[in-house]
Amino acid sequence: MSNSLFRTSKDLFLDVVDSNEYVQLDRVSVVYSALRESIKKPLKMILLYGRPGTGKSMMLHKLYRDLFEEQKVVLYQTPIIDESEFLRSLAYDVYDHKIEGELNFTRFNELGLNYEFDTPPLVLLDEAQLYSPALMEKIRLISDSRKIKFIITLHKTEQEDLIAKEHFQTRIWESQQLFNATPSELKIYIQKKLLRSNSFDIANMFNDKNVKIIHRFTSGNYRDTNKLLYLLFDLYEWYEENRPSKISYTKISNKMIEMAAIQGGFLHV
Amino acid sequence: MYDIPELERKWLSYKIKKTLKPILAVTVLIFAAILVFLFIPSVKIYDSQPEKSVNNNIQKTIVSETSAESSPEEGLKTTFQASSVSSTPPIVAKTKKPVKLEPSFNFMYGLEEEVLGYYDEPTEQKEQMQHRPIEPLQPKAPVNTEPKQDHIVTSKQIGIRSKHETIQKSAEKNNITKKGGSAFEKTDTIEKLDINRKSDEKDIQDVIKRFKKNKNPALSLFVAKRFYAIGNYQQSYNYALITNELNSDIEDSWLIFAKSLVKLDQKEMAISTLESYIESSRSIKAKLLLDSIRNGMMK
Repeated sequence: MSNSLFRTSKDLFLDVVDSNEYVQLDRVSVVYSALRESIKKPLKMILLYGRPGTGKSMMLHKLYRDLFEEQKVVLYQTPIIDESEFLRSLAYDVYDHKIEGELNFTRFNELGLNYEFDTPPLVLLDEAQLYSPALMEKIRLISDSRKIKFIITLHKTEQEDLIAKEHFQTRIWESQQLFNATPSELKIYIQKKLLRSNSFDIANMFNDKNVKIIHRFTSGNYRDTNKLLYLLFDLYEWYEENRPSKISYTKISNKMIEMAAIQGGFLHV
Repeated sequence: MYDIPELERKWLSYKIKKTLKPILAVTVLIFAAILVFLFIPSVKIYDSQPEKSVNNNIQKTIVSETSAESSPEEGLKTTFQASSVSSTPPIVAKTKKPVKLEPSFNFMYGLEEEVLGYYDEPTEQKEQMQHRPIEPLQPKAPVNTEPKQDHIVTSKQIGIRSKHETIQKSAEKNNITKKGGSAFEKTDTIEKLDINRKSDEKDIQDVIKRFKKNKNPALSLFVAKRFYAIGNYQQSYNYALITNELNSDIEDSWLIFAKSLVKLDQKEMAISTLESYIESSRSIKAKLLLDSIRNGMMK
């Protein structure tokens, strides 16, 4: 066992949204397939929602990567709060039309009349709950023109449900929800991630009890799981360097998981 | 970098808490169980003391009444006898409930002679009777002065003889010739009647024997019902009373008791007994019976 093995494993669980790191799980696959099918339908808007850390951004990234070569698709990972800036960005990314200065909604619509697409361009808006109601209203009107199709992601909270209700109630024709992982899904998730980077020894060190403990601390939330596992491997790395006799290379120690949970704030002592 | 010693200390603290929690919970439960176990008997003792002292007089009265009233049952060697002789108060539950039925005991005084025939301790019984504190309200003359066994035989014989006559008549109707055979047939029938009677009596006596052994109120109720069925109302009264003493919650026993009283021309007592019972039990059957007694339908 070399030092780099724990370090490699640790890096796998860094909290970054990278579609290459996307782990296909049964339940997530179903949602993804449904989302792909929805895109083919003549829908104006599609809503993808779920609690934070359930993989919405990751799914949006995967969708972007998969559709990139098939059709015109634009992904906005971070919201563009300013309306003029948003419309300018949209004009540039969708119509390849660079506009200097202010761009209002009317001018943007006029611009859109000059372009025709076989398949309407797809705009993926992550963290849509951060857009202002006024801008969301403009987005709704743009989608009504059927010139551009939107897929938006929302956190599933009471407030954001309200946004969805007010702005998209009559327009969103399809919505998909993402959930936290079950313990068995979490085990597959962890092992798939490790196996993908050829960390077979580390993957084999996890047993059902370990995963259950991890699930108890993270409730199956992918973001929290990533954080906990990052801390776990970080601790392993430290012990390996400083007190190698204290760690086992055959199984993950529950003590280490609990210590990582304490360190990560999942466990309050 | 991490402060590993601090992290390990926190983990140890967490682990101790986690391990101790169930142990503490179990310990607390065990202590609670022990406390409850110790506390409950002490409460009982504490409660029973004043109850004894407060109810001492009442109990004594009840016991003496019970002993006087239950003196006919002393042959059964019931607990009543023991309690009255040794003046040890009986179980409160047993003495409390009969208080409601106080009027009915008075009638027992008139039945003493009859009951003596059933039990084998007449001398003791008489001694008990001398200690009776209250004079019987009812006349001493027993309601049924005839020996009940004879009565049973008579009724049975009459019943079956009439049946036999009916059979004979029907045979005649069917033109069945029975020349020279009628006398033999009649004798044969009487013999059969005797066997039946003995069987009934034996059954009751067997049940009484069993009842003497185990004091099961179901058995005394059975005997009361049997006696009532064969028309021995005095005995049915006695055994219904015993059943009530043993278990005052048996509805049938109260009904038989009241019916027996009616049959023994103690209609008022039957009414008052049923009224008391209805008050405590809300029994519909008892209410119906009470109505029928009041209306004169039950005679």
